[in-house]
Amino acid sequence: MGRERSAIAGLLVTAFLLGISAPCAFAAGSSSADEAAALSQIKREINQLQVDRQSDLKHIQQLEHQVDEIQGRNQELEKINDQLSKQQAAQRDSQLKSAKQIQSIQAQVAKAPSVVSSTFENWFGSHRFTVLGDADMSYFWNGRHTNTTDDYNNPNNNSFIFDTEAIILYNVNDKLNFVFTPGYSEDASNSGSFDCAPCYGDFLMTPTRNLNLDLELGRFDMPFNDYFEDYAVGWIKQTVDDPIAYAGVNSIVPDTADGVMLRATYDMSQWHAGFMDSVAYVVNGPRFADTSPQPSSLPGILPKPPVGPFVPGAPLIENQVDLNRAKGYGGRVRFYPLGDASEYGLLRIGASTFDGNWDGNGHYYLSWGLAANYVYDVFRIRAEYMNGDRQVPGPTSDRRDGWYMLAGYSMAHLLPAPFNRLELFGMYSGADHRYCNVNPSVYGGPYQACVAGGASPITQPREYATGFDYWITPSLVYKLEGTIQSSGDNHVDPQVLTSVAVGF
Amino acid sequence: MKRGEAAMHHAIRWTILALLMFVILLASWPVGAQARPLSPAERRQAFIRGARVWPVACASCHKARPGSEFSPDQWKLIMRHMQIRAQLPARDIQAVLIYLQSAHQPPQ
Repeated sequence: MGRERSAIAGLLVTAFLLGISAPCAFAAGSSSADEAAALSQIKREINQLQVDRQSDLKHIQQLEHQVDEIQGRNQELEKINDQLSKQQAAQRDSQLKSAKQIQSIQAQVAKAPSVVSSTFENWFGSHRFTVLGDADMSYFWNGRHTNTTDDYNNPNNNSFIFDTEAIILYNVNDKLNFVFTPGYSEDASNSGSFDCAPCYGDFLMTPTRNLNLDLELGRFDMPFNDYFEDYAVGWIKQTVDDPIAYAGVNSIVPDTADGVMLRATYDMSQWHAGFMDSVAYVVNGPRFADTSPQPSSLPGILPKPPVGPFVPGAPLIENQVDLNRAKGYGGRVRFYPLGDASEYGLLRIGASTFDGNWDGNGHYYLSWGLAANYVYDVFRIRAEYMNGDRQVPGPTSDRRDGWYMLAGYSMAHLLPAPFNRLELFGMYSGADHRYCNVNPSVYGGPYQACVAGGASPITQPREYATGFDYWITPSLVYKLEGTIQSSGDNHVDPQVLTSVAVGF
Repeated sequence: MKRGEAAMHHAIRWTILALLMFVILLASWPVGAQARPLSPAERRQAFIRGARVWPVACASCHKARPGSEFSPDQWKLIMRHMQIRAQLPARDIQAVLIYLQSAHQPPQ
């Protein structure tokens, strides 16, 4: 608009100048050529002014268009502002709610738990439960030519044997744990049996950084030497059958016992001495198959059984029939001289004992054992020896001992797959029972006049076994074993045993 | 003689009671009972130790089973069980547990 006004004012000034200049020119008598030039100049200026005006008009239109656009954007921004303010309001509401919730939770947390509730939370707050187990199916072919019973109480020439057990671990917390091992097993004596061994509760304690203690109550595997605790399960042991020293009638101690046990592990790595573990326990006293409890007139109380007669060489049994009389006491200590992570492998040596009044009449059973186990890469060897002495009434004795040695060598480094899963093993096992009646006029004590051997056909069994394991996985194995068993009755019995075992 | 036997039984009862109280005291002793969470560097060290102990300590009795065979929570129970059975030191148990669980949760 300013430029338009200035153009109109320019035209008026020009007309005024023409009005003045014409009479002056006339008066001055100027030439017509000068006038024409002046008019032409004026026309050019007028044209220029018109062009400028047009340009100004266009510019004004553009500006007006821009104003329109800006106004449109403003409206959009206002809408967005409205939306944002609504969202912010909603956010503020939710923040307020959250703050209230946090305040409420903080108030709950600030309330200190009572001693009772915190104790309960610590003791009963982290339950864990899982089920593991194992199973094995074995087939025995026995080439014996007499129908006497062998160490499996097996009068047949061939038989299938099935064993399975579940291992139920119930972890109440980091200290308290329960283990249930219900199992079923059968043998060729046409009987199957359900059992729960081991089944116990244990309480773990860590009084110092280097010492672990575990108090175990219930029915547990006998911690005598290593076999019952460490190697007796089908998918763990290399052989199909048990070493003859640990099989039924020859065993020096029962495979399980009821009682209470304290286990201790002491880490001696600070002195570069590996570590040691030990066990002490009190269980129901040792009992033999010829120890028969007498009925009592008072419930739960057994009178002292009559002294003798005893059966020489009677097998040791787990005492679940003669409770609350004399107890059995035992212990074991083991050392790891090479430590637990040595490049020279793992060596363990241990000594055990189990003793107790076996008949309730002051006659003791004393037993002891030595065990060694060495594992280096693909090679393993272990050996155990045990000795038991049953004091019996009169000038007689009943002593027994047993041993086995097993070596295994895995083909992992020698053969290509799939044969590298083969492991060869060899085992030698034996047991002796020495019992006799002696002439009282000759002996200087009840056990001095006893001689080796005896009348029983099972007094000196020996077993030579060899075979292989094929480890399909670390917990699934197929085994094939050939053995030669000799007994005191001068019979040599070849056997072929095969088994599939799995741990799950 | 009977008086002597009664005195002996009395002494045995008190000895058992004292032993029980001693065990309870040991159980409630706080040292080591509250396991301190390991730092990442300590976990790495424990993993390396577990990798060394696992094939030897486990294989001294049975074939060493791989970490993938059980879940981390199951391993926690199993190693608690094996701590009792095998009587390994606590630091070995912790190291082997970390090593076996790392099959599911690789160390940082």
